[in-house]
Amino acid sequence: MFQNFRLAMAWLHTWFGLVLGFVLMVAFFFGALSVFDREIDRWAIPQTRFAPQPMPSFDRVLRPAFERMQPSRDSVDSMRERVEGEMPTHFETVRRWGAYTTHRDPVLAVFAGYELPGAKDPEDAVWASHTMDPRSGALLSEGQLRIGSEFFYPLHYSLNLHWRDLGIWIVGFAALVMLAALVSGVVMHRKFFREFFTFRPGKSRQRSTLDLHNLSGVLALPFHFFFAFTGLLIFAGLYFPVGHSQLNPLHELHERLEAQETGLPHQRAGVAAPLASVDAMVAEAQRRWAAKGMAGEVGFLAVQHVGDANGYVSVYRAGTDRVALTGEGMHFKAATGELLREDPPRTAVDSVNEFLTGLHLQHFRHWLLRWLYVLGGLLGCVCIATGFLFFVEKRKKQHARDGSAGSRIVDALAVGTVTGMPLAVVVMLLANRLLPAELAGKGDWERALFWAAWALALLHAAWRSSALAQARSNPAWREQCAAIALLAPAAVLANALSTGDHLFRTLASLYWPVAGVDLSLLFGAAVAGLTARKIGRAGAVAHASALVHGPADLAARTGAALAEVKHG
Amino acid sequence: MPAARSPDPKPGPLRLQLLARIAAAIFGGYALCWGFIALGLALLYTQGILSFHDAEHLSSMLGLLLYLLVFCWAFVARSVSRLWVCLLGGAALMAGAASLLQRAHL
Repeated sequence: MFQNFRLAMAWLHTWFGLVLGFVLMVAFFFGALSVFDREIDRWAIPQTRFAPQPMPSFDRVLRPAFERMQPSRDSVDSMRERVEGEMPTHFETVRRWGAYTTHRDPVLAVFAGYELPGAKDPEDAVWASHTMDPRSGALLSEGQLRIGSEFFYPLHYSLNLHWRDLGIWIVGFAALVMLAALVSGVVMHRKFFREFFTFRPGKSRQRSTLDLHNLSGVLALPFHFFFAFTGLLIFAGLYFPVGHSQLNPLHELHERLEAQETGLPHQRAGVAAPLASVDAMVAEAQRRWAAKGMAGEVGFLAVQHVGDANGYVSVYRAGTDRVALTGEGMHFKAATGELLREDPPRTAVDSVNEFLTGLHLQHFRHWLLRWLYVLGGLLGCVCIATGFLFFVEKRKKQHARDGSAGSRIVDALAVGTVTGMPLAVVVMLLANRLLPAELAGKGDWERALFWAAWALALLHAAWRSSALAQARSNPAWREQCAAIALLAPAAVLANALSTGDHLFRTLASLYWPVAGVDLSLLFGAAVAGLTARKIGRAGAVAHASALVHGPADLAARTGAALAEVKHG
Repeated sequence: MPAARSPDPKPGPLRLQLLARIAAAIFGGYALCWGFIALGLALLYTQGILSFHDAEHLSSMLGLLLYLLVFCWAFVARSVSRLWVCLLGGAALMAGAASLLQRAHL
């Protein structure tokens, strides 16, 4: 079909890269933002702008809050069809209480799972989930959206498209295509090592775009490969649910054997029992970790079979100084506080798996590496974006002559993704500061405005793409860059006015979460503004020339103009 | 830089062959990897080589890399029909073997 191996790989790279590139832009851009998801949360929810806190006392702070909890209305509603007869109004039997925190969290996540009486599937449960201020035990109101961890982060792996996990499947497929694009990209470019050092901005736009595409691809190749692969690995159980379908009998056998081995009861005993001091259990766990030479903080606390004689408390060490998220679990009998089990050291395979997924999820404390992750993610975006630009540049003259809409469509989608996406982010953050804090469903408004802004950016790009019919550049690039350059500082200003945490104050007190977001917004505005200016000048020169000298000279003159701008 | 692509617009049979390759890459590849992961899991667990979740993780890691290989192979394989036979046949053989191992073990 293809004359040779390289041509086949070139076809694969071009066409699969083009189609899935838009999904990959979302994954890489919001993945880069997700590195600082909790910091974006601080910016978006000013009442959480205080220093990170350790796990609070269970007996004094967590237990009273847990005992007052009931399942959320959303969870109850979603389970209504899975119950025979009436849905109960009050849920008595608690399967599990859980509290989770990391070294970056001022507030912690608490959740509770309740048995569902009358459920058709006995494994089903209803859930309550809250954010708690650990200093007081107060639960934060539910209307406020954690823009970083609850929106940008799930967006990067699921497109926030939750129907039957369709979004996770789409991103998964895009990740597979990313791996294929990296492999085929390497095959296509014979001068692999030379391309590390090749970037010729003075040459024609097509040449310099390709240079930048190759450079950003090759420079961060291990990073791109690693993140696509580990992303797939994290969701491998979802993509290939072998153990829950074809080999479910083996899985059930394993569960039964393991419950016998670990001594952690699988079911309730049906006998009521009190809960001993969990703080004492936590202290014991920390003593044992220290004795093993790995003193640490508590990352995750869970109580299983609450109120039952078979109940047990699990205490996990936070992965602040490890690649694994949590570990070294200790399990205590809930009624007496006696140690039931210390998790054994990980097996080789488990260590490798935890290492790979832990490096992707990156919860450990290492700020330099965190910023390198952001850089890698943005390089991935540059690689994909220049891929689109090169695709269009290579074909737009031909398409203009043939009257084909191909490069016009791709260009419009490219603008919508490359500039439209950051624009939607900036609009969402601005809305977050402009909408009143007590607004009911504020989170829903923010989400709606994000999607609306993105849709508008796409429409704008489509409308302005008529220029491509004459083989000219789409003015929407410059216009959207200009919009970002205006709105991003507006968001910074809105933060200063609505919370008083302006840059001088946050930098003086070294409160980096808010200062970081503000500085990043200003940096983004600067990049967008400079880009808009550069495009504007080159475009004006090229446009004037085109009118006089015709399309044939356009490429040469654009190159010359870019060189002028570079030296001017 | 890559030279000329296949002729455009594609005549009928070429377009069909292309669709067959794309389908093989995505769906045939998925089937083969399912078979591989199932066989890996069943083999490693029932023969006591690894614990259940370790067998699952290792098989998934290798299975994903296999998917990448097969995906690329679908576009370079000389015969599309042989490609499909290998993918589906291999998937069926491996998945079948996995189920047999499971039955023998329970």
